[in-house]
Amino acid sequence: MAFVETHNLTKKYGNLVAVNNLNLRLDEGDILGFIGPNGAGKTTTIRILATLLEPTSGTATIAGHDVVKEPEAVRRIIGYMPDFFGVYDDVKVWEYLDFFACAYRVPRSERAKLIDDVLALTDLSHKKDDYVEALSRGMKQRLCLAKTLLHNPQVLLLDEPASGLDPRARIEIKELLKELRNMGKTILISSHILPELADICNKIAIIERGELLISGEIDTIMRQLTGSHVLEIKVADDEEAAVQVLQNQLEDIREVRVEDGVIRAHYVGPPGEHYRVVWALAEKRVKVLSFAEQPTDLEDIFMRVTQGVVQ
Amino acid sequence: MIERLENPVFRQSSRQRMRGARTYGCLLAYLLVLGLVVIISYDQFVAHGVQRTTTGLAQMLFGTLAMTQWFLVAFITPALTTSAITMEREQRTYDLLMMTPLSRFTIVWGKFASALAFTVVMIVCGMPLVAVLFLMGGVDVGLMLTLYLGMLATGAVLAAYGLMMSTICATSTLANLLTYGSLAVGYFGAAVTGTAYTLSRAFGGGSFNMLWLGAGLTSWQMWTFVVLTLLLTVWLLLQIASNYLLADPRAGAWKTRSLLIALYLLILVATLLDAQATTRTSASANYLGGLFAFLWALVIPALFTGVPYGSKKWYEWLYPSSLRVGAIQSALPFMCLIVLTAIVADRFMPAPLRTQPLVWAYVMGYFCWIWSLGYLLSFAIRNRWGALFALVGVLAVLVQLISTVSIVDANRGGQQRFELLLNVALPIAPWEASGKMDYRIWVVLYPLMATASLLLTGWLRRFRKSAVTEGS
Repeated sequence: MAFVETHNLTKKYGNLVAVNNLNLRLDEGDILGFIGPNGAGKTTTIRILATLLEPTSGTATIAGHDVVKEPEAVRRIIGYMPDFFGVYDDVKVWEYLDFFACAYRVPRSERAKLIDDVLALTDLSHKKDDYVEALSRGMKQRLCLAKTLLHNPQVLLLDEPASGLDPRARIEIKELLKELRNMGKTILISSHILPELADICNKIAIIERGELLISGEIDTIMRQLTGSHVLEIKVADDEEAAVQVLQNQLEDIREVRVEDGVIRAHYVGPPGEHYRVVWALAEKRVKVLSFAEQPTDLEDIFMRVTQGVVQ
Repeated sequence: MIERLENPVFRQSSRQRMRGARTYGCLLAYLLVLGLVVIISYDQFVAHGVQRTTTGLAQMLFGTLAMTQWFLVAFITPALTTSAITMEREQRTYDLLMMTPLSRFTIVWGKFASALAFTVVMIVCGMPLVAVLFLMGGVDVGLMLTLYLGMLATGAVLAAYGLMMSTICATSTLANLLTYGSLAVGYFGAAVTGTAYTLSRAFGGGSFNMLWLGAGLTSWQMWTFVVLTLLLTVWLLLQIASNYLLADPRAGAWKTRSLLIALYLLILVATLLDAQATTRTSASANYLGGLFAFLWALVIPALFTGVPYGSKKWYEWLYPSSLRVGAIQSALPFMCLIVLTAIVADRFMPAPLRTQPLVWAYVMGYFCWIWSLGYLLSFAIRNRWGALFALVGVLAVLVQLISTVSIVDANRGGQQRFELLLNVALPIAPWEASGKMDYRIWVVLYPLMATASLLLTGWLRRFRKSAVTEGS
């Protein structure tokens, strides 16, 4: 059984459909990158999972608990970090954490040590006695993450955790997420900035205008989607001839384009057998200078998946 | 065990309040006003006082001081809570708070207790001024304690009211405006009614039979009644507040209704005790029926409006389990149960005060009619507050219109021909003990009007459905 699962999740605001029949699935230890442009329905989905919104129809369960029927049970096992959040005035960092630790019913005797631990994890130990409103944006973001980790949640719902941060703070958050991944947390992290997610997630879900376009393991999706790999070929001269060879003599090649002196060809043949392309070119005496397989990344997947809708 | 009782929201709110400079400014202003009142009163007493004894001075100063303090407490306490929840929304800390496993009531209770603690601080701060008066003698300690308890009770009710407004409104400005606006209207209305009542008594006008003010209750019964009513009122307001922290406030409505029933039963018991103990020369028939209709008429606009649930068939709302769902559809069965309890309680009233069976039919008919009207408006407007204001507005306009017409008619020599029509909006017939108004016609008219209103709602539903189908 999946650890986090939504089944035909739908949320409507009047006539506007914010999320439409969304089916997501996360197993324990998964890191799901929830990708989509602004207003795609990411935040709505996360807020439903966080028990803050009720879906119009459909169900969502976390560790077997229904988010609508058993919100208290769900709140105990999830940690939620909203995309925009504020902090209380006139409160110190440790008091802020102490408030949430108490709210999560952490025994009084364990609180001081726990607060020190999460502050160390988020690298905020030196700010313990500072007032919260005096922290920088990145520090507030880390403080919010520290707060989210107080009750040791099994599932983390992070809504745009790195939005509005400078590059340094962004990298720090990313490192922190990697650490959480190593701790075995199940994480759903939304973002519209793709490189941010690429090396953290093992699964992705792409959503646009409330519709889930694709979801699953990154590797599987790549295979499904791309069936093709992009080959980059540079030749010494006579690009025309090379293109002719690629287009006419090879069945496994689709879409050949020449950009800035580089030939880009989509290879759809069996994986690991694109050496045949080099053979074919060599046979026709094409002077190949370089031949490389371009790695398919998240941006590529995203562009391919969302293309249909945009058109 | 003690840790379970720990309320982080209380600690957090109190901490924030006591760290802000505003709080101390407020306390300073409060003490300055109190001091100023003492000085002016002293001055006035010395200049114009009739009995210039020390005891008289102390009593006068104590009276003035207590009243000023009471007024200030009543004025300041709503402000302590009107922004309690709206501020969380404005500061964007609301979601994080709602995500904690704290129950909604714990959150509301924490905010309320923090405000109440500050009210205690305000009352205690004013005590040194009173302490000086003790040196002069003549101040009754019992009276003083009662007054302080009264202040605290006022503070508690108003703080709970402010908190309720804070959960309902989207912004602090709106919450403040509505809280103080409604309180001002309430105070003004009470003052006008009180004056009118006093004047009517003074000039020998008829008095309302319902205003017995517990003359038949013993002292401890009265105290128990007052304390329980206050506690239940505060609890009710806090429960409404915590309902509005839920994703769907309707989910908690059954708790509000349970508290309403508790409050109503309390009044019912007090009325029975009162009626059984008092010996009256002028017995009023239909007493309980009239009181019942009047009390519930105050509540029904809120009870009989709301966004209707659309997922059940009409007959499913008759199942007992549906009473748990706080929807407008289950409000009518709920009301029927309440009327039944009143009919049973009426058997315990002294014989001359009992209500005629036909009056109960009239009361039930009135509720059916208002419910059907509320349902129609709720269905048409599809917004909780819009429907509530529309219902109150429609009833108020009807009353105003009929009153105007009957006054104009009376000036032309008509004999109360139109007052009978007032029953369209208000259940006033049971008060006409002598049967001047023939309320029996309404026993038939109300169900007919209710049926017409329901048919209109049904037509509206079909019309909407067909519009949606055509649209898609």
